[in-house]
Amino acid sequence: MSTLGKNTPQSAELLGFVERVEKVNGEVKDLQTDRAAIFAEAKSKGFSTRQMRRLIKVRAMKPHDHQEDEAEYDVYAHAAGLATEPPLLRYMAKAGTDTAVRDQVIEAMKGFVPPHGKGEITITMEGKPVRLARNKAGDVELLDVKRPLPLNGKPQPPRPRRSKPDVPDVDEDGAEMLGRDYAKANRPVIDNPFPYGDDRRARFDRGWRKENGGDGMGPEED
Amino acid sequence: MIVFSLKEQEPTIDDFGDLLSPSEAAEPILAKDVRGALLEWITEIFAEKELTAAGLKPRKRALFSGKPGTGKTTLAHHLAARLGLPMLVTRPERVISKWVGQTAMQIGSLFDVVRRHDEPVVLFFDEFDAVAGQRSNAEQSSDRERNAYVNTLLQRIEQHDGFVIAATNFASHIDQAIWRRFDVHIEIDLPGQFERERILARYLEPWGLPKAALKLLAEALGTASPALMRQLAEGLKRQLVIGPMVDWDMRRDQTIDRLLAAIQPHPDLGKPRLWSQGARDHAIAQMPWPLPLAKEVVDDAPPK
Repeated sequence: MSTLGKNTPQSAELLGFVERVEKVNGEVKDLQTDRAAIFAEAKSKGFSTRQMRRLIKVRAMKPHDHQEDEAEYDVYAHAAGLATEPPLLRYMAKAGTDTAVRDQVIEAMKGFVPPHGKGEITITMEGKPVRLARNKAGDVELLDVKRPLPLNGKPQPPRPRRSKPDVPDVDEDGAEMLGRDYAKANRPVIDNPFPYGDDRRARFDRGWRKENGGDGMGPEED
Repeated sequence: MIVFSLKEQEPTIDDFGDLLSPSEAAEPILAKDVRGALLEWITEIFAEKELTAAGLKPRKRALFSGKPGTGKTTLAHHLAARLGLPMLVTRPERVISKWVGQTAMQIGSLFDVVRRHDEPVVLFFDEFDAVAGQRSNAEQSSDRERNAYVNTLLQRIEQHDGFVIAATNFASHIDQAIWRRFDVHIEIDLPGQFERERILARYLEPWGLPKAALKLLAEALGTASPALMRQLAEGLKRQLVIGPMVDWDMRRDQTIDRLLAAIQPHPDLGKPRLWSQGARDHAIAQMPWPLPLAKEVVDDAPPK
């Protein structure tokens, strides 16, 4: 470019470039006026131009980038105390209508399922409710909800009692005799058929010891 | 419409350990003084009505201390079975949590669960020093956390109306205030000669040894814990069953040497003579071979 000067071939080329840019600038100005006119027209019909601009920006983004952007914003907003409901719940609100979202919600909730036997998650959405519970191996299983959901926290039915041996129908002396019989038959003292708190249990124990001569803990040293 | 519920299930008794039923109890094999102490306690519990009439209450909390494998759990289980109650063997790992404050909550929840259970339960803490260690001056936050849950434990034990049995290998590690809450203290020593003979005879079943050979073997196993003798007897039985299937050398000395090589007593408990002598021990020389079944043992041979 050292030879650039007036009336050189380069000067003419330069002028060409400058004029082309000036022409485009003019076109840009015209287009901007057109755009302003469209916004003005929309505004005159009552649309919010601010929201329109936002919409245009989002539409220009790739769908994936937009999703990521939104999710990140949700997290930031929640962290800063701006969001009133956690992002996951907001996302889940869509699950009522969208089956794809519904599956995603179930997938997302799997991570929150407590260990086996510690609890389970019941999700009720449009359609059939599902129960998420971990099996013994620690994998999450989708189960049907059979009984009504215990949403109100009502107490569960009590667990079945341990099956008790039949308690013989005898009085206290009878219990002592029975203890002696058990000792004679070489049955251990802990086979005592009377439940805890029953006076006959003590009498049985005493009878057993009297007959056996030991304390019920096996033969004694001489 | 979407309803979402996360239901925290109430903990059940099985969440804190294993519930052992009375019928599963084995016969404890114990020295005379320990048996005496235990029988005294059982009698006292059975005499609750008479004691109440005299304004007294039976003691309900016991602390068993003794070296590992001396049968503390078996003893506690026998007591529970004698009373006709199931016993909950709590596991430290189900009670102690890595979260600050959670251990105290778990302890509270454990006692609640036991109280709510539909029949009385004997609460058994194994390795009690894990939850009831000495409190200290809280120089670190971990100390503060331990102080907090030991305090909780103290209160809950105090309030608890049922039977509590705790077992520990390290009696000196237990917090003094907690120690004081236990009104029966039983120390279980390693078994003596007589107990060792009975322990061996029990675990060798269905095989058996003549009295003289049993006596010699028990002597060769001085300072062995019941758990070690059980391991040895069961190991021997395993050899007798498996050996012929895999073509091992089933001669007596070879079998015993193989057995001893695979089982080692804990160094702190002292090495019984059998381990230093191996198959050359005269207790082994007196052992009839092949090992007779207990019902076929001939017992008229005079001891040599």
